[in-house]
This record gives sequence, structure tokens and C-alpha cells, in this order.
Amino acid sequence: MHGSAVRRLLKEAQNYQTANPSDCAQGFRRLAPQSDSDLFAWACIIDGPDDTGYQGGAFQVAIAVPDTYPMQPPTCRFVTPICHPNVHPKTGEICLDILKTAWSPAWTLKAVCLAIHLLLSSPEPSSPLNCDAAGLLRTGDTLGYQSLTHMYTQLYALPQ
Amino acid sequence: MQAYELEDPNDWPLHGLRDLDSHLRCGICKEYFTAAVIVSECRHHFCSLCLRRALSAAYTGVADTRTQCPSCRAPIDSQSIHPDPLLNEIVASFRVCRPQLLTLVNRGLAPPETPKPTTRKRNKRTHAATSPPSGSRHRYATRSRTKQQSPTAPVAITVPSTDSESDFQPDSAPPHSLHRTPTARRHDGSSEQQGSRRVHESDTDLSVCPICQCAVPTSTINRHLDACLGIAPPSDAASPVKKRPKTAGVAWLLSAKPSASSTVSMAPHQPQSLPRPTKLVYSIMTDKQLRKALKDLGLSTQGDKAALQRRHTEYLNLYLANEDAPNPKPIHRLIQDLQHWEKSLTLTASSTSSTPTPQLNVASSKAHDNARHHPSRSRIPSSQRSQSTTLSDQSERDEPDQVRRMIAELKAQRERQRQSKPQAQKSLTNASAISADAPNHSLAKQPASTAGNVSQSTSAKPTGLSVGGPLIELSGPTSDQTNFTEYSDHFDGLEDEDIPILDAWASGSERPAGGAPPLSLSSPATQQQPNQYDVIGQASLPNLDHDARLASTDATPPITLHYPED
Repeated sequence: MHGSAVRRLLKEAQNYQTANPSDCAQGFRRLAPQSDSDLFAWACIIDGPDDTGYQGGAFQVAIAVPDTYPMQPPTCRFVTPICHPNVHPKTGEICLDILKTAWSPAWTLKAVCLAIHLLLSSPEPSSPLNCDAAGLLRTGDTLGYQSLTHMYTQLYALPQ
Repeated sequence: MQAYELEDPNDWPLHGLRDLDSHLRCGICKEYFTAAVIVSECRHHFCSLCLRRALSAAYTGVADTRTQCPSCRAPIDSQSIHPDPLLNEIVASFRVCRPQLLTLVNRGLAPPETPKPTTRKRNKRTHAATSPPSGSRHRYATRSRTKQQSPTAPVAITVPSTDSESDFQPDSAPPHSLHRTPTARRHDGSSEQQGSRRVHESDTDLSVCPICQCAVPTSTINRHLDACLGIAPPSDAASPVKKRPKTAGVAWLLSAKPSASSTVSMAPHQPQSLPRPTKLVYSIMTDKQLRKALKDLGLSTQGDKAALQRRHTEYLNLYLANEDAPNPKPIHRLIQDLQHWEKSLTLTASSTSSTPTPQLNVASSKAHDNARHHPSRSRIPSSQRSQSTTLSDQSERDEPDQVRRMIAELKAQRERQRQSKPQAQKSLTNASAISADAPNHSLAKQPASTAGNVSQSTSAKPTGLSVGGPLIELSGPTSDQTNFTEYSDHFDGLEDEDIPILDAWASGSERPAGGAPPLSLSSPATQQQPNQYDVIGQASLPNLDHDARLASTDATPPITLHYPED
């Protein structure tokens, strides 16, 4: 199990390195292991989607891969503070069904990053981890929500 | 051996071949199919073992995926898995010719990629450098230099100087048009129809050698053929065609047939007759029954029920996948595989405490493991120990060379990338340093390094927020300060009286033209210099208590930033 996880992760790592940048799906960058010594801790930078409060932001996501990958989903959390209904404001934990119950071993880390990118532009306020942000959305105050997310992006997520 | 090389669909320069390559790979392990199976419901293909493991992971509740097809989530069960011998054959033959095909394709694509003037210049140079006065010439000089070393390149063919001398006149068309694969020649021919006639005339004299695929003057084809055949057998061009079908194609095909009738064909392989494992309903079985079932199968009966259950499931998966394989292994090899698998589980469970899988209670084997792998531990720097230990242990056991080679290759690649983009890489390591330092995301108690890093970055950029002053200033697009303060004051007043005014406000009547965010930033009472994280973390980050407030009011006031006042 562990061996197959190593092989698959190596494969993915190589795939993202050799892939033509223009071939890569837009929305995230620099998906790679955090260090050469540990293949099970990855990092990625998610770009804030256009036309949202996150626009212009670069959000770092830490991905912890279990030994049983790909049978078990990786655990992702935002390192960059972000205000989003489905992201826990303190821990950065992400509430996304494909990272929990709806995981399929055919998904890759790339697919996970893409899913997180899409989650930014389509939040799901009905299962919130961040109740304030979700409350804004549920009451229809999209302007307030946009401003709030924009503020957080300006404060924390501007690329250096 | 080849299976563990880091072959990737991106190796191919052509999109079509890239797709072909990726279609021959399992969606779960991303490797070429081994013992391919097809799912009868949705007709998706997977490796047998991958799919069975995925399904049994769903059964044991590791992921709550029920039993769905990993690709399309169609409900499936183990009854709907059928071996697919044809796909196995396709994969086997593709893998046989892959390296050669890759070389050929890369070679064929070479001329359009290199800009013409430079090639010509380089050819001039090589012409000057490599042509001995006698006139005999190494015709492949340019190719072996521009392209990655193709195995055929070193085969030096000498051609009479009379023909080739005229071909290699630097003023005529680029000489590489002469020894190309037929497609490349067509390219050059069409482009030269407008241009020089001499090359056209020499072009008609050429014919393609069937052995090394090179264009040689027709007058010398016989001599060339002799030379080719004389050198060829040890070299690559002819040998794979002769050798490989014998090992991979025919023998493999013969052995593939009986595997369809599964258990019967297994019988001759078995030294001792062990029964075929069957699927068990673990929840209604006692430990005793489970132990007995394992004993009957010739497996270890150590461990608690979870371990027994896991062992049985994995053995069932291995066994069934083995039946799907074109050339099944003997049973005792399967049991060995199972033991290896369990050892790797024990190892990871002991090395990473975060793993949810319960530790196996096979005390003896674990002690043995530790003893065996201790030497490898001492070789690794202590900082890297935690995970790379398991990595190197695993590689020592399973594929000693391959995994290590893969890792080395990967490192080399990263090194190359780092050299090419030092800037980007630097910031990445910077970023990863942050994440490494901050094990949890709690904003109130960020480690000093993280907070420092962030505030440094914020103050460094010109259009950000400056925290030092009494009032937080917004500059940039949202920065009209008077407007903003007014706006904040207005909002502060509003905060106590509730909904109707807020709604009016939210409709945007008084919103500044710039679309400033509805921030209300009150100035700190004391000139204390808290770090940003503290401020934001305490005042504005939503917490769960706010939910009650949210429920009572329909609209939420825009976020308010307070400095802590003490």
C-alpha cells in the first residue's frame, strides 16, 4: 500500500514538473512536495478566481497525503488566512465533499487543487465552517460577502 | 523493471500519443495496466488489484464511497469485474515498442523545431569540423548532436564522397533533409520545390534504408545495407523486433489464455493445495471463526480482529487480482506479498503516529523490522528522519533500485528547475517554510516567525495596509481616506440600531464611488503594537458564537476591526 502511494506520488510530482505550463489547468500554481525529503507533504498556491473577492490573491494550501493514498483522500488546509464559508477560520480546514466522503481514488492532487479553486468561486453556505461568511451569503448580502473576502485577500493573500 | 521507471504521458511530444499513453494507464495508480479488468456496468478499465483495493477500502469504511466505480461513481460490486485480456496485450505491446517509438518520434519531429538558419550554421560548423580531407563522412553528425542520443546515431555509415559532397554544400538546402524519416523528407521537399533544383535532383536519388530508417543514395544502398546488417544485430534497430515478441508477445499470449479459466489453471502452480479464499462477512464472525478461516488459507493468525480482517481482505484482493493476471503467480508468492504488505503497514503505523490505521500486533515481526531497518536510519540526517525513513525502508524492501532511482531523478529535475527559475523557487521555499512552521492555523497564536513574515510582507508592499499608525490606512483603489473615515463613522453609528437602516445601507445608496469595502476601523486607544494576526484574530475573525447573533439579525454588519484595548 505504502509502496504504491510512493510510486504514485512520484509519478504525480514528475507529471507536474514536466507538464507544459500552458497545459496546466489555470487556477493553481506550484503544486509540488514541500521538501525533497518528504513526499507526503505537498504544497500548492491557489489563485483567487476572477470576479470574486479573492481576485488577485494567492492562497497557500498545505496538502497532507496519507500512506494509503490514493485509497484515502489527502487532507488539505489553507495556510494563508482566508474568509470563506467552507473554510474553518482558525484551522484552515476545508469542508469539501470530495476530500471526505465523495473521494475517488481516480482523483489526483491536481484535481484536488482544481476543486479547491472552484470552491472559492462557488461557496456552499449550507454546510458552513465559517458561520459569519456563510451568514452573509445566506441572507443575500453578496456585496458584504464580497467586501469581506476582498478585505481578507488584501490583508493576507497578496502575492509577495 | 520498466514498470518502475518514471514513464509519463508527457514524454511524448505529440498530443495524440500523449493521449494514447494516458489511455493505457490505470486511473487509480496512473501506471500502465497490470492485469487489466473491465467493469461491466460502466465499461471502465482499471488494474485488477487497484480496483479491488479501492472497493474493499469502501467496504471497510475507510472512505465512505460505497462501492462505486472510481471514474464515474456508477454503483458496482466485485461481481461486475471481468478480466480484459485484449487490453493486457495492447499494453504489453505498446510498452515493448515505447522506447523505440519515442526515439523515432523525437527524431522525426526535430527539423521543424529547430530554426533553419541556426541549423544551417551548425551544419556548416560540423561540416568543417568533421569532414576529413579524404571525403568520407559521418553522416549522422548533426543528428546525434541536435537530438537526444538515438541508438542508431552512433552507427557510422560511410558513403562515397562524390555523392555526399554535393549534398553537403552549405549553400544548398539544409543537409538534414537528406537523412530524415520519410515524413521529414516530405517537409523539406515541399519547401524546396520553389527553391534550389539541385537538392531536388539529389532527393530523387535517395531511398530509405529499411533497417536504420535513414535516407541513403540509391547507388550505395547495397553497401549501406551490408554495413547496416553487419553492425545492426548488436545495436538496437533490429534486435528488439526479433527478441521481444518471443519473451513478451508469444509466451505471454499463450499464458494469457488459461488464466481466463481461473482456479483450474492455478492448480498446477500450487505446491500444497490451499483453498480459494472467499468473501466473508466479518461482522457476523467471531475472532475464532476468522482465525480458523485464515489458518485454512495458510495465513498468519496473529493480531486482533481488525488485523485479521485486514489481512483477509488484502489476501482476497491479491488472490483475485492474481487470477485476473495474464501469468498468475504461485500461491506461496502471494502469501509472501501479503507479508510484505503487512510489514509496510506496521512500519508506517509505527513511524507516523497520525495514521488512523490501528497498529498490527505482530510483535515479533515488528521487532524484526526495527532491527533490520535500524542501520538505514542512521544514514539519514535526523531532520529528515520522520518520513524518509519509511521511504527508504520501503525502497529497500520492494524495488530497491527503482524507487531510489526515481527519487534521484526527481531531485535532479527539481534541481534543474531551480536553476532555471531561481526566483520562483526561492519564494516557494519561503512559503513552504511558513507552512512548516505553523502546524495549526490558529491565528491568535501564530508562531513568531510566521507573523513576522506576514507583517513584513505587508509592510513591504506600497499599496497595502500600514498598521503602525493610529488609523489603519487603506490606499490603492479603495483608499479615499476621508470618504472611508466618514463611511466608517456612519457605520459605527448604525451598528446599534439594526436591520432597516442596514438594509438601506446595503442597498448601496451611500457607498463610495470606488466601491470601498465596508470596513470600519476604529483607532486603537493605546499605541500598543500588536501583531497583525492578533488584531485580526481577536476582533474580526468570525467565531461560532456569532452564529446566534446572525440568526437573530437578518443582516450582518460589515466587519469591524478593533485593536485590543488594555
